[in-house]
Amino acid sequence: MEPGAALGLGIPLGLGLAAFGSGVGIGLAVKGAMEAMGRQPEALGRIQTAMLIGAAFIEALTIYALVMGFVLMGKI
Amino acid sequence: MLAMLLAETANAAAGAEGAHAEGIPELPNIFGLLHHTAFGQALEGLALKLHLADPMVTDPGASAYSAMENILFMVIAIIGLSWFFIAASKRVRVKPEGRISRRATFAEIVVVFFEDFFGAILGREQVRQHLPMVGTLFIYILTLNCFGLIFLGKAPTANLSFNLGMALCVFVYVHFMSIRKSPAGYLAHYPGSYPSIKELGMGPIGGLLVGFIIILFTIIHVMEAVIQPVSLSLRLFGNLLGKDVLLGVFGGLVPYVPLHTPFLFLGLLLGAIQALIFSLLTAVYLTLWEPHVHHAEHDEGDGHGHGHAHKPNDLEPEPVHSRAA
Repeated sequence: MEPGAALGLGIPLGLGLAAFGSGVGIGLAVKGAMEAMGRQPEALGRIQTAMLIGAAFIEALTIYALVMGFVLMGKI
Repeated sequence: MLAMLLAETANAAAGAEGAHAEGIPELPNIFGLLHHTAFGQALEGLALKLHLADPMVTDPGASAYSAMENILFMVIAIIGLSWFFIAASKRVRVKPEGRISRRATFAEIVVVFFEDFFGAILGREQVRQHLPMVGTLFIYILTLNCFGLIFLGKAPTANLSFNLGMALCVFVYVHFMSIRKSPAGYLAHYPGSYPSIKELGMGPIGGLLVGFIIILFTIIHVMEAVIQPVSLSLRLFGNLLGKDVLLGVFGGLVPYVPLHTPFLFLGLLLGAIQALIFSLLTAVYLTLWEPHVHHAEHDEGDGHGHGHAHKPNDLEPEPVHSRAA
């Protein structure tokens, strides 16, 4: 396989896989936060903040894949 | 206005074709349109003289000018925000002497909101000290992100060098603050918490084990310190670049039709969230790198819970202090 073709196939696939994992991760995080908010609405602000921080860490992994995609885009 | 929008999408279409060699489509911005005027050429000369160009790029002129655009938008943001907040803080008076200006009231609302918000992470005692850094980061990044959404604007935060610069500022600030508070406590951060040899009671093997743990955790914590600014900048860069490319692709999809309009609202949401995340993570790093005040042996876990140890109850907000007077 040519390098360009391999990249063209690999970058979207890798990004999709990264997004899949992050999606599951953020889904679990938000699920937990929602349940906690429902159980204890008075702690809403703090739960939301913690959830946002966690979501940012999870989301960063997809962003790394996205950045790699942008870096390698010129080589396709 | 409609004519301007149409012109924008036409330019985006042209830009999408023209920028095909670079691979990343983007909407046109005001300074980009001025590139071929005398003003633009002068700027490009200045940018080349300042070595803004990436030496790896085939066209150093375009690369340098692209960097110059970011700097110009940054300067606009800095001047605008400084003007607004300095002017707002100058007019603050105690009530009997005169009315509080509208601007001062607005600035006060912003500051009090940030104080409450970051107080939940940093703690009531510390938030006053760190608020100038953290709050400024939020306002600054939000403004820059919004530059990417307005007509003929460009978000400098969609540039890795720019974000890395901000992240390095955060890195230096966080570590400097920790060292200034207690150099020994800062250094105690690196080995983390380890069992004392006496406690372990395994003779020379225990000593070796403890030494191994100390070295291992020091390496891990050094890596953590290095990774933090990198991930901080990459996150902002990736999100903003992704948004810009999305806008560029949809703006250039059909000539003269601003198809990217719905995504502007998405971009507003994303810009606000990313600004929040950046400043929030700065606050979190400030608590993470808080110097160890106790002996390492008495700590639990990996020593990361210290910022929360002496935190007051945040659920009920404190009454607003004399600032409101």
